[in-house]
Amino acid sequence: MRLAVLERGHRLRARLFFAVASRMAGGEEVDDVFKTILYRPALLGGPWFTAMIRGALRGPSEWSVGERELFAAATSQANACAFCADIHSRTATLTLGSEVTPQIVEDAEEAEFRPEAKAMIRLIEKVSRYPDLVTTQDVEAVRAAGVSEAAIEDGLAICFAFNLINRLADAFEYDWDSERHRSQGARALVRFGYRVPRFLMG
Amino acid sequence: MNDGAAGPRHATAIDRVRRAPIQARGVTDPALRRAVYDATAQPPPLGPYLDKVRDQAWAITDEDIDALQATGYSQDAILELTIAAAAGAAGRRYDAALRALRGGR
Repeated sequence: MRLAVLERGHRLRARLFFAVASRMAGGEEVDDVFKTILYRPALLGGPWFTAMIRGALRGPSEWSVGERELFAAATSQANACAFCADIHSRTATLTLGSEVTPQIVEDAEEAEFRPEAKAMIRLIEKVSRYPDLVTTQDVEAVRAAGVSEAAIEDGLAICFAFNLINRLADAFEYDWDSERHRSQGARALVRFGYRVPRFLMG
Repeated sequence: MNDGAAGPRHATAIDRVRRAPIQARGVTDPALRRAVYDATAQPPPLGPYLDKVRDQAWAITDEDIDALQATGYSQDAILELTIAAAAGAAGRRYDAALRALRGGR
């Protein structure tokens, strides 16, 4: 990462957690998003950040977990964030059980996703790339695909979260130490579902 | 998670995350972080860097960060201002989407 403090500047409780997490992961470090959040949690809202991520990606929703990972990947690709598009296409592949490419915005139309999810991906792309051009017609198109108001709001929450995270990932150059680290990172996101021990976020 | 009767789902958490980079204690002036969140123009090298964060973060290079550090911005200052700019850009998109969502009803 471009800021050394995000690699090595953490307070004791975070360093202890990193040591335990690394031991559980066969020596692999936690990912760079985690390291950023735990450096100065208050800058991202502390427990509210985890509440936002957990609520949007794993909380009750009409979307499946896999579809919500698709939305994370789609936002990331719309922002040309290679790091996040890659890892969330992997988590989407793991949770949907079918192959998802990092070029999800282009590939979505041909993919075997539900029409509702395809419509949401189109809205997410437009909101991320051309926010000033978003109109009620864009939202109507998603409603016309059968998506409820609540489900649109869930999708937009994911879109917000990744519009934020994508920018941090690219500004600070998030990366993986190895291919093993990357695939383990994807599996950890699926397994732990973005849970962060609360004492680390205060 | 429905956070409030009137607001959209997740509204409380998103609102708290948006305000955090401005309200948290930090090394930079909260007024500057507020201005950065609102995308108010800043002198170089800060201004051009933050424009990249908002509009083409993928194009940020080591040199961008080096230039800020050479001008006296600490790593903590860069972190605070980057998060403020990113939260502002994400929030602007979220607001645009919600306006379209509400406009149709």
